[in-house]
Amino acid sequence: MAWIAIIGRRLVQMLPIIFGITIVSFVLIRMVPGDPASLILGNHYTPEAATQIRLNLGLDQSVLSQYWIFVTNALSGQFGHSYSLNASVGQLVSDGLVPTLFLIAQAGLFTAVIAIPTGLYVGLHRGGIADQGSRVFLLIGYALPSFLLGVLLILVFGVKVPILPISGFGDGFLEHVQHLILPSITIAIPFSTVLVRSLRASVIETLDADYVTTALLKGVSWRRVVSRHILRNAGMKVVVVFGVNLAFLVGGTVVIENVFSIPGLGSLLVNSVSTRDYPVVQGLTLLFALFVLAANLLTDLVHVAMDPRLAAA
Amino acid sequence: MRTDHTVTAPQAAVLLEANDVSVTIPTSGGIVTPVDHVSLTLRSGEVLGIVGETGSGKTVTCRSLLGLMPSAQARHTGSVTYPGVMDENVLDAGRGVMRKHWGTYISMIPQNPMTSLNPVHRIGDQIAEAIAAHSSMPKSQRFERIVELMTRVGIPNPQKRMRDYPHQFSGGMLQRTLIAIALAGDPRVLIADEPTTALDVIIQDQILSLLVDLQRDLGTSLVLVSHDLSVIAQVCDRVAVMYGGQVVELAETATLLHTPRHPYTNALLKSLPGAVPRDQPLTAISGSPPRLIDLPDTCRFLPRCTFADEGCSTWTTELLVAGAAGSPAGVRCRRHQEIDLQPPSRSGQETPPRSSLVEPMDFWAAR
Repeated sequence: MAWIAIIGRRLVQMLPIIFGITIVSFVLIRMVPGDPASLILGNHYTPEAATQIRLNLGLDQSVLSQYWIFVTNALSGQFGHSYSLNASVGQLVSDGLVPTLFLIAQAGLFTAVIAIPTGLYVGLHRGGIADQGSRVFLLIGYALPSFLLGVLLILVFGVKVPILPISGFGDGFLEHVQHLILPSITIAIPFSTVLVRSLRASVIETLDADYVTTALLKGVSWRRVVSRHILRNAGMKVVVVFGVNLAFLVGGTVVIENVFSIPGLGSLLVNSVSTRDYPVVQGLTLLFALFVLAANLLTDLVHVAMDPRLAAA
Repeated sequence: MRTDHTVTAPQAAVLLEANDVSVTIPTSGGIVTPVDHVSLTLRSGEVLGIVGETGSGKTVTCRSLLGLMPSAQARHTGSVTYPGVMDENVLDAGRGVMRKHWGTYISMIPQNPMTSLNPVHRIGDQIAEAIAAHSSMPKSQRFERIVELMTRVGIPNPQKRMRDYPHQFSGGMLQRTLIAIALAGDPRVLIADEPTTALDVIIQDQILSLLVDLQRDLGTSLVLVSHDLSVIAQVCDRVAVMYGGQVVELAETATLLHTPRHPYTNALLKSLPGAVPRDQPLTAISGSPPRLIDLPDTCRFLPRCTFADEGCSTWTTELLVAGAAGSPAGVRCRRHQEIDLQPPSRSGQETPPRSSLVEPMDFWAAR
């Protein structure tokens, strides 16, 4: 029961947020200088042709009525047709969705694989060599801009020691995984530094908890104390950090997809903005917003699943 | 309650021996010494009380009896042994070795039940973990054991309540759960570190009665830490009075209450409502207890002592043997034989009644 209530409440809260985002993105993209009609015509530009195109696209109408058309179409699942690419927004998005979700999932997995053991270890061995050493790594990993890190990885693993593909998405599951190794690492390194820090801090805090002493004095193995009592409780706080950052990751993929030429939503967004492809930009902004909201909802649900005190509330 | 006790024979086996234990923690503000040359023995079936003010080192002392140090930086000297079971120094042993003794030989009942159970696991699972740590019984048998333990510590409806999470339990019920966990491995020694401090008065009394019943029924030895001398007076066979990280007096309970030898013990009694006759005023101890940072070797109580003379300022403290042979007793006062403390009980009551055992109605009527 608690679950349905939580999900229901959150979905209701999301509605005004989604509505607000559509307004902001709709208005903002129209405030950006540049005229879609002249960009479509290019060298064939004549004032008459431009007027005709604006008429066809409905850009001659007021922003308010354009928005009304957008909303009514969107509610029936129609997001329009791309100005510059010969496809519907729905088609473009569904093509780009797979690489982007794949990238986020793989990067998230890499991050967890790096961050959980590292954070746990340095937290349990506070002040040790690994803890001291990891600080340097954390600082560099956190400070390095991801596009620089990406280029660096391309240089090392694509050019000097060419063992991994440096661009594209490939065909089939295995090739997808292979193509996304470098991009995923590029995302995972700065992302995991955040998680290592927060996991370390919460492991150190949990170590001093009275219930850890209780568990220890039962005479159970240290391994069990760590997994059942320390990691479980320290992890609860870190899940929130992970979720919030996962939402940010959606924005982060825009840069990474361009560095590694991955045909995902990030690349599509950059192209659409530069060609003033209003329908695509609007559709993508809405989708990214939904991503962020979904990531937050998922985080909350995982948190509730892990902490019985929240399920009761 | 004390009269029910079988008197501990002096030859009863020693279960725990702390020999000259000191714990120091280096900090940026200086060296903190929460435990300073403490020696204690605990015999089979005995209830040993440790009494002292907040910050007198009681908690660190009783945790060191289990081999737990307050922090990774803490240093220790002296030794704790469990004769015949663990003859190596418990303080040097480490988790891997101590694991075998925790739960089965020695258990602890913590100070704060509200934070001492893992919030994310069910009550029953946390008790089960303590059972499973030392025995491999089938699941159905373990279930029976959980029910038995919960019933024994007075948790009603155990089959249902074992499925609850800690946040669904009251403080008193949590402390009962922790007692069940402590008892799960049939330990011979229980360390109760102010087990009732975090609870309200009525519950305090129930928990204390439960502890005393269990101790008597199971024949477990008990170290009971408290800042409440009236609690100690009712329950313990022997009492160690701590001040500034040191044991300043160690004696049988009756002896301590009737003929205290240390000025601090005496001052403590004179400030205790139950111990002082009604027509006489209570006396507060002037000054404040010492901070445990960079302490001198001289008497910790010196600045507040009304019996001190010139010699006291240079006397390096040691626990002097006091009392009859066969009953280990000591006092950390160089003038204990010369001074006349005039303890409160001489002029009136026999033993102080435990204030919390008075029925609430009677208590108000008595006023």
